[in-house]
Amino acid sequence: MNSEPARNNSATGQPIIEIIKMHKWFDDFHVLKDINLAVHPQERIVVCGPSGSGKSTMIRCINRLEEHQRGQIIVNGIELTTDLKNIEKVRTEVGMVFQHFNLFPHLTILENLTVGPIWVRKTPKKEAEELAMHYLEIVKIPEQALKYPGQISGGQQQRVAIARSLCMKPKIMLFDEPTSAL
Amino acid sequence: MSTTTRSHGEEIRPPVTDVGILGWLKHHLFNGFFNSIATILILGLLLKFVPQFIQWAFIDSVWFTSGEECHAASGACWSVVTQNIRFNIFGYYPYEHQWRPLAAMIILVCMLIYSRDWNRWSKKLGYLWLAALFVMGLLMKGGLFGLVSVESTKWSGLPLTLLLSFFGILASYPLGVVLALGRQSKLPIIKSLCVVYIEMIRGVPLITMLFMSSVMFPLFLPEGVTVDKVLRAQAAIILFTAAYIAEVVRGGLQAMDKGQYEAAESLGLNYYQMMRLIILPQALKIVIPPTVGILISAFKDTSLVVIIALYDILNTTKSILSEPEWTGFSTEAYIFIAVIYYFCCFSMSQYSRRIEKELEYKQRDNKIS
Repeated sequence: MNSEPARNNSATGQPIIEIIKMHKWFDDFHVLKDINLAVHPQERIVVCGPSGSGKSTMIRCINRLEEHQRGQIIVNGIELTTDLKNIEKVRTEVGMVFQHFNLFPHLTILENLTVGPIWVRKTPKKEAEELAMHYLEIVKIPEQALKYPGQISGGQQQRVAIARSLCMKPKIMLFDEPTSAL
Repeated sequence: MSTTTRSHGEEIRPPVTDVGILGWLKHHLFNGFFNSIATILILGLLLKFVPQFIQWAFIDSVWFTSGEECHAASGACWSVVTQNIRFNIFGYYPYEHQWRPLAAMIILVCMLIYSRDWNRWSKKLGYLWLAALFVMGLLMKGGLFGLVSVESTKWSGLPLTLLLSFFGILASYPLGVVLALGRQSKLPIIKSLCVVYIEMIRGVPLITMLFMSSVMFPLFLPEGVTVDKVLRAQAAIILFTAAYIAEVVRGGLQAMDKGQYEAAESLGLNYYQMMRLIILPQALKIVIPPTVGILISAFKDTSLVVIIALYDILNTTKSILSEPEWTGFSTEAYIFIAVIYYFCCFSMSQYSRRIEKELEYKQRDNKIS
């Protein structure tokens, strides 16, 4: 993937995601070549391209599900390096919705939504459940809260996946083709 | 125009051969040529051997006699079991104190039965178990509250078998899980340590481990320091079983979808949280059936402590049979032991099936708090 220089249309303040001259290889395959990107708060960006061009890889680099080998990625003021603590800090602020949703099948919908807030944000259980119900109402499936992911439809699973990310109140949301599996 | 007449209100019964006893026979025993032949063959074999067995085991048998009278009887001599039952079960534990291991075993069984319900698993149950373990240890060992102290070398029979297998299972399971996680570690030192441990243990029979723990291990200890023999056998069983558990758990971990790891990571969960909350609950559930297989075989393998001169229930039976009065009645004595082993193993597999069922992902009835 080759990128054009970063757009800077809303140049007010610091970008929340900044990718500078980033390269990534899968073994010998040079998948991301010299990526530069700056995203500002409130901006919505769509990345398009043919399959295999590295769109997913790029956004997975932003929360370090993939490692980049050269260049810099700075998210919310924190540079992604091998430092595990920093990576966890970044992931707390970056929500991600996956192509296959990846809900936790052994937890109820409600538990899927509260596991992040309770264990990462240390929110009290009760508060986390209220927050979860709030987002379930926004995505219009509060009545499914006590079911397991295997018991609801694909479309409902997708909404749960979005709600699960929103429950962490992230500053950044990454969507990796969340509608392609429907 | 053709008309069909139908008698209303009169139900037509299915053919006689499809319902009742005849129907059952037809569907289950004679549904096809080969199945019919198999049914007839098996029936023939049963008719040949079952009456003979009943004649031997029940009709001609003697139950509460001395050894001499047994030799005269034509049937089974269950006296070998009934007359020696206390030695068989409790071995060399002092005769007048044998109520103590009995009480300890009853406590253990009651605790296991009580804990089989998943909903009862709470902190309180944990404390209850600690208290129960303490009481059981006290009953076995004595030395406090006016109970006479009994050396662990005297522990034998069924209590020893249950002790070795219960603690063997209890300790080897978490150890196995840790080893499996270590084998998947990204840190090369931890990974290679775990691989070497697992492969070394799996390459060695349990008998060797027991021999090493009882013969070689004391040689390395400084003079005057001794480690209890039962404890050494226990450690060998734990270390051995853990390696096998580790491989089964690794299978469960590898069966996990990579997306589960990614979803957990993307929420910001750290490694321990991810493993504890997301990965292990799913992976361990997948491998319940093979795990129980290993635990059952670990239970049966405790009988190998015979070779380091510990008297488990199999060895007490052997020493009964070596008495002149009871030689020649090994069939009866071993049938009794087989029944005990079968009962324990069957309970274990039922126990696990129950846990598996309770862990099915079904809708919870509890309301949101």
